[in-house]
Amino acid sequence: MGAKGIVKKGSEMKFRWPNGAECAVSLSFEYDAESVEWGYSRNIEGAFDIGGFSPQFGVPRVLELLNKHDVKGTFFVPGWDAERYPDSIKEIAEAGHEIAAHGYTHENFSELTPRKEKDVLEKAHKILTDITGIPPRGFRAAAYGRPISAKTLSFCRDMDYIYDSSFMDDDEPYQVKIDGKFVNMIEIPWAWPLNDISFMSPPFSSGMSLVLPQRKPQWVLELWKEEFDGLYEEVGFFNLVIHPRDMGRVSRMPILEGLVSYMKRYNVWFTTYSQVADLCLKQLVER
Amino acid sequence: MEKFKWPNKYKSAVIFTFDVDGCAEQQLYEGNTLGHNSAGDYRPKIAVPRILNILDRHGLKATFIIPAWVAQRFPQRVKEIHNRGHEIGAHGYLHENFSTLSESEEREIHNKSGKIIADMIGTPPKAFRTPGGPLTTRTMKMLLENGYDCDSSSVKNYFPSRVKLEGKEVDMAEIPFSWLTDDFPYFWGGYEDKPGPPSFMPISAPKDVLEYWMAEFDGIHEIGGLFVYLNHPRAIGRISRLRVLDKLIHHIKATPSVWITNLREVVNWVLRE
Ligand SMILES: [Zn+2]
Ligand SMILES: [Zn+2]
Repeated sequence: MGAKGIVKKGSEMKFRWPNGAECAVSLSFEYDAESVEWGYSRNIEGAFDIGGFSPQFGVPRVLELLNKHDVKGTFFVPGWDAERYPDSIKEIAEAGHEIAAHGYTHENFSELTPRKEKDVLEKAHKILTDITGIPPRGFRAAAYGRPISAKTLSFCRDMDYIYDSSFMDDDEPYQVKIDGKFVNMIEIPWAWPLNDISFMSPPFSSGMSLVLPQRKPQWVLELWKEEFDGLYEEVGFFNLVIHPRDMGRVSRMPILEGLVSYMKRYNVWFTTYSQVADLCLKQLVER
Repeated sequence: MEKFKWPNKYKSAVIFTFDVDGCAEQQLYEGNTLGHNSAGDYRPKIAVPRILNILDRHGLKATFIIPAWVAQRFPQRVKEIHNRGHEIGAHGYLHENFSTLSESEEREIHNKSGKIIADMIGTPPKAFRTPGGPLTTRTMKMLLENGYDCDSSSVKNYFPSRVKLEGKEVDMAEIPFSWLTDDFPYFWGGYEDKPGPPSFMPISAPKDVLEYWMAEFDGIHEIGGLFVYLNHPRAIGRISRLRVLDKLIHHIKATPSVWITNLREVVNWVLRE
């Protein structure tokens, strides 16, 4: 029986979570400080300095919340931001959260040459490893609405990454295929309705001229609860994408607080991305 | 307003159609279906099986409009849709905008996509919805030549009708749809798929959308029209949203004197005698 007494269909739940949990919940945070605006426009002054909100207010608030609830998150950090805020990155890692790769200056990977792409991935990887002492194990493409290149996944695999989180074609993790062959890598897909940017992106964010309607905090919380209910009951996987630069506002943090408290009432497994990927890979071998 | 006569004294009619566009446009315009361009695959991969289950549960038959390239990518899914009693309609090869193509280019796409679907399910498609861009007289003529008897690209009417081509009635039914009962404006989210300046669609709360759809259905029922539910499984395919579709179907079923049918039945009714 799933939440609210609705029988889970089972067929859609391909992986078994630890301790009989009905649903894995992974909370991801895109660190996205000024690297985003720097990457797009080489300008991080005036209203283009919004990325600075992330290390200054957003991330500390998120860390406080995660600590309070004893939940570990996964932080996707552009290398350029890590170079500028190494202490902040160290603090995240020391609190037991996962640090994952997210490009150097939040690049659009479909526009880079393979050589440049490899350089960016390796450079960002080294920066994060040097700061935390732990090599990242996964990647998420930056630049919304843009694809990755035909090479991205193999480059990630070459660096021993065990997961990617750039695709949007599923509700739950699945094994990655490269050139038609399954590899030791798990895709952890995401979706727009579970991405805070859909409801709280500032106008002209990232120099991309996005103008989206702002939604009331309570409205967003209700929508996410509705999404969670459906995924908890019928899929068993819930993956949230948060931008501390947007969510970290005083009026919005209660959304995250409300959602985490709500989910804790159910039989869920709060997990980092690499924990999910490790478990999925292990269960694929056992099959 | 003109009255449309439905069979068996039904007051109004309802049909369900699903546009399974897949990643056709990403392939067509960018040659890349990876990363954020993969969202279209959600439809055939994840959403269609869920939709088939809902339709079965309600005893409904629907029409799935599929670009032939997407059908080739997910042939088992197409066969499953067909084997479970639903109609497969044509939607170009790669979701092309026919108005930008030459006559011979367009003709080749109709021939190719019709043949791919026919080879897959054993019968050529008879229903068509234009993928991108306006529907031209040229397209309508080619559809007639290729044995189609239904187009569903118009949005100006609440009633189906027989198509008039250059002043003459032809053996083709027009089944108009509406953006209002499409999931696209409410649930799409993300950047527009097509190249050009990035644009982003707001995302609605599922329970709010139920109110839009029920109001529109109630109004169409009142005037005796045809309620065409047009759905993009990428958008509607999430569990939270399919629950809204389920509630809408319950609402429609609870309304007396509605002919809950499918596109094929309405086409036959329009083209009778
Ligand atoms: Zn980002
Ligand atoms: Zn379409």
